Amino acid sequence: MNKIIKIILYALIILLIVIQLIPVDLPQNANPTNNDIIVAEEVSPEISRIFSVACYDCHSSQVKYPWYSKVAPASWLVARDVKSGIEAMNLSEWGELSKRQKLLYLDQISGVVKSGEMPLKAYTIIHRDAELSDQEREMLAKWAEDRMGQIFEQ
Amino acid sequence: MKNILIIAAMIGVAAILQSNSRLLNEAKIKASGIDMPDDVKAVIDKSCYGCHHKDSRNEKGKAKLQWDNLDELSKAKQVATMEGIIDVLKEDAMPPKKFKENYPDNIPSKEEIDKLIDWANDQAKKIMGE
Repeated sequence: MNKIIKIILYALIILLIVIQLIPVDLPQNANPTNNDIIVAEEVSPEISRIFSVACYDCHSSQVKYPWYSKVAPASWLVARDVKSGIEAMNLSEWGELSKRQKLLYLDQISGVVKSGEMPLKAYTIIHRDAELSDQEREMLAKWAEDRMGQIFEQ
Repeated sequence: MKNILIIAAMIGVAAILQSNSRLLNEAKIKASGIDMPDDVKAVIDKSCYGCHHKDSRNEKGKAKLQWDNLDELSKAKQVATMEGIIDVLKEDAMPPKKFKENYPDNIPSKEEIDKLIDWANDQAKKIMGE
């Protein structure tokens, strides 16, 4: 019995080493610019903090990649989520958006934080500080909706 | 006598169909200030309304968009909605794959999708006052 367990263990270790050889495309970061939503929308420190801690790791070009996010298979999950997050919405490029696109994204931000869809559970389980309280969700949603009204009137 | 019964039956069937009608409420759309030509309405009725109305059993669809409630949205949200419609159609994200598998007859054609995109674009511009 011991021998079998040993063999399985060695096989798993070898597998873990081998999968590191598979190339993974972690999206590259970039220096923050004035197009960043925090700058472009002149948000309050509270809103800025929420964006940084709960959203930027998937929706910006300032992703924090801890050591384990570069190790397979965790790196596969991270690459997948960050890529699709950036594709859906990149808060670092907010300033480049058209008025209509901003309205759409603000509407979506309000919707997903109210419903609890975002931030992803898979993310907040590991990043406990990204879990938003009801109060924080309400604050972000209200900010987004107020901003929508202001942008529309411009 | 037979003719009267047949006519009565037809009226009865029509009444039932009308009450179960899963078609867009034109009055509500009018109230929202959004123009909706018949050909656009036809596409929406065919491919969108089933999931995107207030009594839909599709919880996700109901949460994301309700065609009957556009008059209850702020102008800013109406624009956001139009922009969202354009986005999902351009990305071929809507109608969803499951819907296309279950209701192949309700799959919109490329022309119908383009028509819907153009319409949403025109409405967004109009609401923004452009």
